[in-house]
Amino acid sequence: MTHTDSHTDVTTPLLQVSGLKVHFPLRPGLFGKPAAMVKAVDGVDFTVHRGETLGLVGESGCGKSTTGLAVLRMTPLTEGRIVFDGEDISHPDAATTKRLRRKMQMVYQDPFGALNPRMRVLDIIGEPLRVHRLTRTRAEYRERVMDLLDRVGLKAEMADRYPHEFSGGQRQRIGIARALAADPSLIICDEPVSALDVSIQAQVINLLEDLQRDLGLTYLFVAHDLAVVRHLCHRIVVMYLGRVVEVADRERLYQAPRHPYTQALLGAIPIADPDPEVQARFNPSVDGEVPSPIDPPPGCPFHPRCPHATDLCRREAPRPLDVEDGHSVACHLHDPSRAAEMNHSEPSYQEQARNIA
Amino acid sequence: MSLSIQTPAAAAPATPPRRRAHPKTLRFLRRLCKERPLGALGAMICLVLLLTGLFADVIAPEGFNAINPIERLKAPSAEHWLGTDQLGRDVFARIVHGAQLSVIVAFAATTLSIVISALLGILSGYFGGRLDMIIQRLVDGWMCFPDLILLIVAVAVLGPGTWQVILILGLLFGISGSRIIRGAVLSAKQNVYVHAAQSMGASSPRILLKHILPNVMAPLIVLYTTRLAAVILAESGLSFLGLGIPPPEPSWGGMLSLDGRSYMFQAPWLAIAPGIALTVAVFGINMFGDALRDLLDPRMRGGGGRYLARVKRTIGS
Amino acid sequence: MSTETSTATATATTAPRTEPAATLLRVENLHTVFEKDDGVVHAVNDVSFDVRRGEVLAIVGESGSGKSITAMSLLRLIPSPPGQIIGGRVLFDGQDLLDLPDDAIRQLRGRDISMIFQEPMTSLNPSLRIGRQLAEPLRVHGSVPKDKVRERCIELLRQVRIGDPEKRLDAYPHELSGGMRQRVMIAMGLACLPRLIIADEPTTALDVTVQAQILELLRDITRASQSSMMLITHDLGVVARYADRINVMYAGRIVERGTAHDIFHRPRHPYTVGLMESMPRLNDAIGNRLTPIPGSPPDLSDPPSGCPFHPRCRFAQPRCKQERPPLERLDEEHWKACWVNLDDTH
Repeated sequence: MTHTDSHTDVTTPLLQVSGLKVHFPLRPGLFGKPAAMVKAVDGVDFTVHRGETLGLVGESGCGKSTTGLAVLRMTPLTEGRIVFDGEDISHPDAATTKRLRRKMQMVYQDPFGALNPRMRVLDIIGEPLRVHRLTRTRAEYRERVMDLLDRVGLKAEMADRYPHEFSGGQRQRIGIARALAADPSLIICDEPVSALDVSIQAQVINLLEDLQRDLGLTYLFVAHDLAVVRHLCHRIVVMYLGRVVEVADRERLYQAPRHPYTQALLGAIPIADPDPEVQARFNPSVDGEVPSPIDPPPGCPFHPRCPHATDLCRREAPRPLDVEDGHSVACHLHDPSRAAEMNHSEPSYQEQARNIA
Repeated sequence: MSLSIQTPAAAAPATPPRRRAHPKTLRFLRRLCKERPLGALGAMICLVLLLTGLFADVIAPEGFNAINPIERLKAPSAEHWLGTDQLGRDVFARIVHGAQLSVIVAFAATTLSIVISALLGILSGYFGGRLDMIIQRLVDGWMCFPDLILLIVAVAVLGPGTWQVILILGLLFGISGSRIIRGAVLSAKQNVYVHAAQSMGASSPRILLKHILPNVMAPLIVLYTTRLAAVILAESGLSFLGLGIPPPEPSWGGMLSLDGRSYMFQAPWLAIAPGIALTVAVFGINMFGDALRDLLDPRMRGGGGRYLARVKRTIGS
Repeated sequence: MSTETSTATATATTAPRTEPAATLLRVENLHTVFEKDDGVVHAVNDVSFDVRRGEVLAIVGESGSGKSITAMSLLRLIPSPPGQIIGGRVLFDGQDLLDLPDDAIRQLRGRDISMIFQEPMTSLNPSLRIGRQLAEPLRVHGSVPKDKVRERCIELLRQVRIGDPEKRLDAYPHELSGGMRQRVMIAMGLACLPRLIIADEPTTALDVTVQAQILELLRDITRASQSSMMLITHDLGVVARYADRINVMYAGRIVERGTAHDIFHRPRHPYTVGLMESMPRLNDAIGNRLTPIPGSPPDLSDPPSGCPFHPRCRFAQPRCKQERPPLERLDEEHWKACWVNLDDTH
């Protein structure tokens, strides 16, 4: 819990998440006990190093956004530990929370909803400065906001306008400037470009890259678009139904995905190139849809859709295992100690179904 | 094929804030006249009511209690526009001073009720959780009793009088109105920018003041005008029952019940005059309030989105 | 508007005209406007294209480009007011849909041309069972005898690969997942064996693994039934995989048209070039920088003079500011609306 000298140590990771679980009551029951729990995040571990971009990807309901909110300490933990800058922030006190609110900032998906329509850009971007009393005089405040506007590629005279006078891409720049205002060490980006058009999306992606290079920022990048993630993120955590299924750096994840879900996900993305050779890589191999996180399947969460599922997968959830340095997969197929069981198992439901058909 | 002219935008941006208040007010007035002519009429009635109340002593300098036994129960004439009552008092003067009383009671009680509604609604809606639960159950409990019973009990305890009426009506409408404000706060809380403010560590008072309150202003204004009319009616009702403002104060409700009813056949103007005054006032305030509600609600503008959704539903077949 | 005042009412389906055999739908100079507080928005401006029998024709564009309004104009589904189709012809089987009486166009919707929308959540009535809603188009158009309706519904659900169709008929929409609901919507669209399916962002609300299932299904079905599909989307990946020909729209106009190969490998309009360069792809080199298109799309109530793209165009010349380039043919299938002659090197 020694905060004071911790951030001088550059070798420790900026963020360490271990055994993170976030469960929500679906609705309160009649006598205080919840009728059902949504297991939004159900045992997640990952590490974010200083200066890198870590991608958190998965389809809807995989818990990636909830994980982001839990790291930001905007949602209570059910279980697990979050260490930020050497300090355990799993159960922060008021002073720690206040400090965290400065050191971590968020960029939102919706460029229209994230800015208060009744405030001028000057006061939107400057809000963190006011909240944390980071500037002393009015002139200093204005100057700082002008710097931020310049950083994100907006003109100084835009400071006195209101959000509705801006396009979606410009609004997203304003949101980014606001996130930078308090000089944070971690920025959590929740789908920051998915609401933008392709031509604008590239502007924001480039801006995020430039800011990282110039300011040494660390991003936790929550997204579903794997092409964007491949472009921006150094390492990627693939989530499915509240668990991590694969962690790897981008080269390995996109060239040699190991987990059947990652393979399916990558195979299902239509590539913007009509060339038959490129299209041959398209292989939407999975059927069905993501099950409900209220009642997740036993064993491996992916087994009902997995083409390789066996009895073992139905029975027992796989643990994440390092297959290479920095590449871990949670799948029995890649666990040498389980190879025997995997080979001698019954064929999967899928295969049975296919045989019948 | 020609274009139709008067339709509002397909997707008007939600309430664009303008810095200069003046053109905004003008624009609003223009919209009021164009889109809600009845509302504009209501606004004029409200204005007349307000001016009458303010300048009652100028309009009817003789006062509301100038007794003149010779001129008892005179029919309307050039001298007494609305006739006189059983004590020879000029009914027009009493109506004018009654307007003053109504305006005072209405504004005071409504203001009190809005403060109560805003406080309860914001506390309950923004902080939520256990506090919300407790406040809402108390409000439920309060609303279980019929208004009239509460009024009668309260008057029995506090005794009749102008300030008692204001206090009682303010409390009564304030508590029931808190539900509406709570709803507005709950929906304002859903805005992503509120989440953003929380995540950067802004304090609750700051968030309430900067991000929540501006969203609650529109429902507050609307609540204010609708409650204004209701308070005038309620005060008249109380006075009619003899639980409101005691004579000789010229409350419209009191005039209806005490003098109007007793002399209904000899001097019908005694009942007709305050009756019409009441009807017109309440009608005006209600129309103005309705128009305000519609014009301030961004959802009432245009209809492209909803229409599209409906089209999409129906053409599946 | 159109000068064609033909006897459109009675002969809704059988009207072989002098159309080239391959063309199913021809749109000529379509012009749709919206009246707004601050002026008239030309959402679709002078748009012409045709849909051939058996092909998948894509209309791609960013939000506000007019692609959805184009689709809705074809079936006269523009909310009016504030919208209005002020010009052009939409020839389906030789008759102008914009001239048809309301009854006739209603008959045509869902029977000859059906539409599949983006939101599977709101497009189904939550209080009616799936079977009831699926049977609706069959009943309305009377294309199947009453006692055969249920049978046909089961067949339709099977066709869109919904397991256990007998049981699903009695389900309510909320009991189905998003992908399932979209399958039901497709089944409804297919119920009367339409010759043209207009799919407006059919998978935007769905996850990528489900999107793949749905789009493969849609394509297989249109192929099998030899009907045509108009695919409206912003997703260039989807377009590359499924479209035979592509129309690129910008600011209410078609700026480039061509085969998928033309558009992706030999784009000739600076906007299309810009789209290709600004898009991160799964098959490009890791670490290369994207080249965004500067600026934002124009406000259509106050469009720029000349070419609508010139303020954002890096190839813009003085002429582009003054004169709007017409859509001109480059070769057999490839068209562009641009004064500048780009080659493969740009």
